[in-house]
Amino acid sequence: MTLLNAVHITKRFDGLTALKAVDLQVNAGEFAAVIGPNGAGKSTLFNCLTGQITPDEGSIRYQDEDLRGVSSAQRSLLGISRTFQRIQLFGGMTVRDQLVVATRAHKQHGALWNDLLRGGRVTRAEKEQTDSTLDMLGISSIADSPVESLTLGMARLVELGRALVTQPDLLLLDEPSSGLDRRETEHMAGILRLVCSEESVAVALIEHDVQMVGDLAETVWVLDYGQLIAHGPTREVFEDEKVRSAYLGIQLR
Amino acid sequence: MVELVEYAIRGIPTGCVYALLAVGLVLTYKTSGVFNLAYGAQAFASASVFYVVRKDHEWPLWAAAILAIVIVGPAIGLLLERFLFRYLRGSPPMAKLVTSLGLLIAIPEVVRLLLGSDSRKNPPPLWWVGRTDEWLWPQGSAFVLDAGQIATIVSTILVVIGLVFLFARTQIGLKMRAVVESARMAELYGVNSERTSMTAWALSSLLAGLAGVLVAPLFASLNPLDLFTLLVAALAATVFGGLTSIPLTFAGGIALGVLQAVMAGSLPTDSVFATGLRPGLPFIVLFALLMFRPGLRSSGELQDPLAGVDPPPPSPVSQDQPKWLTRGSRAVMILLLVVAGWISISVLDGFWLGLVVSGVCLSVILLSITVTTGLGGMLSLCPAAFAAIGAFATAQLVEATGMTVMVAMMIAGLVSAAVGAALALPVVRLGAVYLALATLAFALMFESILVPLSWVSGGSVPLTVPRPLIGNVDMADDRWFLLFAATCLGLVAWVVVRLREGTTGRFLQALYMSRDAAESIGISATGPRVVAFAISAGIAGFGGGLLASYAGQANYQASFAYLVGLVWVALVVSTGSRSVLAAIISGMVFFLLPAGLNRLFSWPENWLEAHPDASGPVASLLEVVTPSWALPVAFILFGAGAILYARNPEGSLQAQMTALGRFVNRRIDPGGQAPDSGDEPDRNPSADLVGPS
Repeated sequence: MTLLNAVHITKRFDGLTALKAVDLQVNAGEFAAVIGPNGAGKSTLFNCLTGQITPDEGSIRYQDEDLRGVSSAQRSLLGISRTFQRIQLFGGMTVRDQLVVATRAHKQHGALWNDLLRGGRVTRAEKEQTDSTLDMLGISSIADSPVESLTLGMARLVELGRALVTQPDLLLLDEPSSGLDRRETEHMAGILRLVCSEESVAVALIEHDVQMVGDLAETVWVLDYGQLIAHGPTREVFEDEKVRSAYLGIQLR
Repeated sequence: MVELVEYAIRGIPTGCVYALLAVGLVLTYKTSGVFNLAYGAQAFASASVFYVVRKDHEWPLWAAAILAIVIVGPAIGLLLERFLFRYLRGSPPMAKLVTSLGLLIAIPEVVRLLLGSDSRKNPPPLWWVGRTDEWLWPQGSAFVLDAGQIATIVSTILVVIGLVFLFARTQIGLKMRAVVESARMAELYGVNSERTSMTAWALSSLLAGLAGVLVAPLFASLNPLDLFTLLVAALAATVFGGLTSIPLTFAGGIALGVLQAVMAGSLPTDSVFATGLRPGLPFIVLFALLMFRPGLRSSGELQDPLAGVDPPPPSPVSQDQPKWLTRGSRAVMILLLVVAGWISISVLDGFWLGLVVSGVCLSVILLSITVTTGLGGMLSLCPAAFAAIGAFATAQLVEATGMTVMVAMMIAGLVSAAVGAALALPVVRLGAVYLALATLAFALMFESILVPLSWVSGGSVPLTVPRPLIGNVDMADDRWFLLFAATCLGLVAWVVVRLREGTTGRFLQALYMSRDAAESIGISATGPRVVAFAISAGIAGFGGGLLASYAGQANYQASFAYLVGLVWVALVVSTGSRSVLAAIISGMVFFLLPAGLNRLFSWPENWLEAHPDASGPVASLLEVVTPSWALPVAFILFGAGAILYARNPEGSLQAQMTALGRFVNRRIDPGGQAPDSGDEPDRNPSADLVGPS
């Protein structure tokens, strides 16, 4: 079943055409990767999908609902969640707080009255829920640390955790391994595989680590200069001549 | 039709005034990245110097002009750059805005202290005559320009041509823009960013001085408030130019002047439109432009392309305060407040008790700033307008329906909250600087259009507001009123604390720290902010009713003028925008500090009277000090707090608390890691990361 169907997405910034009629389909529970050189328009495509920017042309359907005019926040409530290439954690909060805010955002009724009548402290149920997510990510030891003290690797895991507690059907990850060392990358890849297979969350990731893409992704979409130059099952795409010259180089056998 | 054209042409000189001020602001913003609210204050400083040397000391025109415009103007700019704005380059726009707000408050008072505070009537024109109307051109024709207008038109045109040339054709113009975008990046290309930035400030301050001297003769007497209000009017032209384009800004200024003149000429003179709309027009245009100008919302604030290599900005909330300190300080705070209340009731005389009660009422209003700015991260510059709405609504409700004052105050709070929500809906989507400007425009629209109407303010005579009567306890006694006001303050403070610790507070903080991320987890970008704005307006309205009830009248000019609101914002933000205690301290300080300084500064006079035979250097030094210093010094201190805001964005109060927490921690556990050592490279990332698996 097609979960997300983006058709002919075009986005221009003044003179620059960042995306030219790009398509992207992600099926439920599928693991997809978007690859391409820097400046190919990958992040712009993600921003169009999550509603941070509005495409000039094209349509995006999610579970048969047209996303035109649907705000970022509403898209998140529909089940699209994401992480960012440049870490975007909420400063001044602990790791647990990041996750608690995300869970509360998804049951947002009567926040104001709850605050006034009951106070808004973290409840035991919320604590258990966040603990299980942090456990799964292997970072329960930093639950009460302020996010300012985290290393990049941990911060990326916290962002992933924050996206996961919203219980998405589609998870968009913008370079989850960028800036991480090998060990951290492997840890991240393991978690992503788990998320996709065990919790049947569809994952679309932007990634430069070709090995990671080859290990994880079932399908690959290749962008170059804002255009989709190839897509299909990972193995086929990696053997495509155009893809090799545009992106992979000749080292890959 | 011919008449209309005639009116339009008459509007051109006014338009040039707007254009000159607006172009100067654009220059400052373009070359320093600071939206300089203190521009009007700088203009006032130069105009004052010009007045003093030209009129009091009768210097020749050229000498006075050189001193006031070419020397004093840039000198102020260089001082500001060297000691303030150089260190704020990477700061968020809000920090820069608050700093310029502090300067706006402090600079005019410094000028008053240095040059004397007597009123300066009929400022001299930048022309070789004593008064603007002594020289007219062309004489006898239908369109007559006076000396001041000709000087303004000529200067404006020269300035616009010069600046367009500067940015389009010269190296230094290019460098200035590069340094604003990223000083570090510009330095990597070999640009001396410090020298460039100083040149930019000197140039824009020179323009501020020129504008001040040129514009001053428009007013019957020289005062900073008129200049600042004119500056806000000129902001419409600035926004029309998108804060960057000098030709567009010029066109916007002229268009605004023409529009105003045409409206003044063609509308009936005795209608509401003429009395309210004419002075209010620039603010309406400003507000409308902020809402509807295409490209403004997406343009956002300047961001350093090298920001990616920076550590994340410090958060406004301090995490490294131990729990015991929070609890302990709260207990101590409540104890202190109770003791202070007891002292106020049993010891203080009528005068000081009155100030304390006013301070408590004001503290309620100031908690509204805690909600918008502290919790919401939005610098709203119209708290006084909402307080005034509450005061007027209370007065009108009591007068019209005869209901008890307490109920009226609560309904007034709801009225104010409704207005706040209506204002918030379009405004909260704007970036920090534009939001501040939009709320400033709202404050001035309210002042120029609604306040004069009799169904709002009761017209020229302030409406009376009675004191509450609970059972047979008559609040006419200040001591009972103090108890009543303190109870109200306690309740409002409780609401604010609940919001801050609750879901609403967290959502607001998430939006403030990263709007994209907050939206990505399903937090609406507008919802929580509109709620915060409405609650804040409601609190301000309730507090305004309370203050009016204590004062016995809803007096706009005395209690709620928009500039007073700016001082409140500066006070709260610099003491600690998220802290309830900071709001209470600010409320007290606002009333007690000027009175206390007055006592202090009258001491030398009294001493000299008691010792009439005293002489020597000490006596002559004491003679200089007069009680009239009290207000300027108090305002300089208020302004100075805001100027230092950028150093402690969490506020001076919180900074002290954090320091105390660290100090005690170190004492208790000298070998252990202080909780603030996050930047020490002694962590092993992968060990933490992989965990116990």
